[in-house]
Amino acid sequence: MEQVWANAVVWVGLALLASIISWRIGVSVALVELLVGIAAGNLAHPQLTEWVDFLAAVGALVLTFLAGAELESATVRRFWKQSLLLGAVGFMAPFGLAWAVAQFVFRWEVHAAQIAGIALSTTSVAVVYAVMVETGLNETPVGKLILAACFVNDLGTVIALGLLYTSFGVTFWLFVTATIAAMVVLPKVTPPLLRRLNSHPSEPEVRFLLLALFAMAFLAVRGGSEGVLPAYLVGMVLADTFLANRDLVKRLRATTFALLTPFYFLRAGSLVSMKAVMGSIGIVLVLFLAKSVAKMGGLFPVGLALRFTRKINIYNTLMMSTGLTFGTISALYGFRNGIITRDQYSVLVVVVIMTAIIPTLIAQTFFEPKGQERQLLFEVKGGK
Amino acid sequence: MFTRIVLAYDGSEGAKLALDRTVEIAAKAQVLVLAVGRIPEYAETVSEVDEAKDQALRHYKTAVDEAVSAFRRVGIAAEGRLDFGKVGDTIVRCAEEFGADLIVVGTNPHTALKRRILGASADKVVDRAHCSVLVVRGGPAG
Repeated sequence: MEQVWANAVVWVGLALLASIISWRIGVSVALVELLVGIAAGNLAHPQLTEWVDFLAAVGALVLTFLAGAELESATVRRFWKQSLLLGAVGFMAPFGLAWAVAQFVFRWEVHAAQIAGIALSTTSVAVVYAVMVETGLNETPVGKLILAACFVNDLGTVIALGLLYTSFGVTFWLFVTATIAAMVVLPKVTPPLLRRLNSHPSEPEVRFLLLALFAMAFLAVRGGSEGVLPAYLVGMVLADTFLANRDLVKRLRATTFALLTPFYFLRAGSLVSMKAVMGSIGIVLVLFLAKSVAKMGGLFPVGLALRFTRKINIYNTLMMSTGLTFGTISALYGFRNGIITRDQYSVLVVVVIMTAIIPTLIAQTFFEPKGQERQLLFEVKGGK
Repeated sequence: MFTRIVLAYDGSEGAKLALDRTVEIAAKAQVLVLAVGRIPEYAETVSEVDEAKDQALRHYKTAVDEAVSAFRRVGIAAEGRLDFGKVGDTIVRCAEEFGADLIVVGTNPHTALKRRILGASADKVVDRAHCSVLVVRGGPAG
C-alpha cells in the first residue's frame, strides 16, 4: 500500500503542477497535462500501474461522454445538410490522406496507418468553441454551423475507432443492439430520474450516468469495439437533457477534471518518447502537413459550395483542422491494443498537439472575422 | 479633447489609478469600462469554456459596476462591458468597435522575468491600438 500512495503523490503532484501552469498562462489544462506528462515521462519516468490505467480509461470515457453531450441538437437539425457535408468531408479527407501517407510513404503496417488516419481525422469542438467565444462568433449562425460540423467530424472519428478493428461476431451485434436500446431508452428515463433524484447529496445522478457508461464500455470491449463509441453516442442523445441540467454537467465535470482526466492526459503524455519524436521529425512534419492539406483540400471546396466568403472559408478550414482529445484517444487506443508501436504513438501525439496549436494561431492572427464580416456571414448563410 | 474613451478595468490597484486619471480627462466624453475575461486556450470541453465565462462574469461584474457608478457620480456618461479573450487583443478590438479615440490602461508591477515570458497587456495595447493610449503607471516594477 505504501507504494500505491507514493505513486499517487507523484501523479497528483503532476496534476496539480499542470493545473497551476494552466491557471498562470491561460492555456487549457488538457494541453498542459499532456506536456507535463511528456516531460515527466522522459525525465522522471513515473510508474504506470493498473489503477493509473483505470483512472485514465475512465477519464477518457467520461470526457468523450461530455463531448457528446455538448451537441446542440437544434443547430444540427437546422443546418443538418451543411454540417453533415462539412463534417463528413472534414473526417474523410484527412483520414484517407494520413492513412495513405503513413502506409505508402512511411511503410507503416496497414492497421497502424489506419490509426494514423483516425487520430488525424479529428477536429476539436472545444478548441473551436473557445476561439469563437472570444469573438462572439459562437452566437452567429455560421459559428454554430461550424461547431455542428466539428461535432459531425468527431462522430466520424469515434465511429471509425469503434468499428474499424472489430470482428463483427455475435458479441459485437449484442453490443450494437444494447447501444441502440440505450440510445432510445436513456433519453426517456433520464430526465424523470434526474427530477426525482435531483441534488441529493449522495450524487445518485452522477452514479447513474457512470453506471450506464461503464456498462456500455464493458459491452463495447466485449464486442471487440471501443468504449468511447457508446459514450459519445449516449452523450449525444442526452445532450438536450444535459443542456437543461447545467449544474449536473458542472458536477460531473468537476469530478472528471479533478481526478480522472489528469490521469488520462498525464499518462498519454508520459508514454511519448521524445527520443523517438526527435528521430522522426520528418514524419511528424509530413503527417501534420497531410492533415492540414487534406482538411484544406476537402473543406475549402465545400465552403465555396456553401457560399462562404473567402476569409470565412479559410477560417472554417483552419478551425476544423484543430484536434486534441480524440486524436490522443485514438493514438492511445492504437498503442494500448498493440496496433501501433510506442514510436508511432509518440509521433501521432506530437502531431495532434501541433494541430491543436498551429491552425488556431493562424486562424486567430490572420483570418478572424471582424465587425461586418460576421454580419456578411449571417447574410450568406441566410440563417434567421 | 477625447470624446470616446475605453477604460480597461479589472479592479486592480493599477486599474483604480487609471480610473482616477480617466475621471480627470473625461468630463465631456463617453466612457466604456471594459473588463476582459480569459478563456482557456485549446480547451478540453465546451463546459470548461462556459465555466470560465461564468467565473469571469462573477469576478468582474461588481468591479465594473463600481467603476461605472464612479463615473456617473461625477456626471460622466459611462457604460460597462465584459468581453472575452486575450486581454491586449480584446481591448484593442473592443476599442475599435466602440470607436474610441483614447484607450486608458493601468499597469501592475511585473517582474522582469514575467514580463519577458508573458508580456504585458499594456505593451500589446500600445503596439496595436488604432488610437491614442494612456498608460497609467502603477506600483514599482521588479
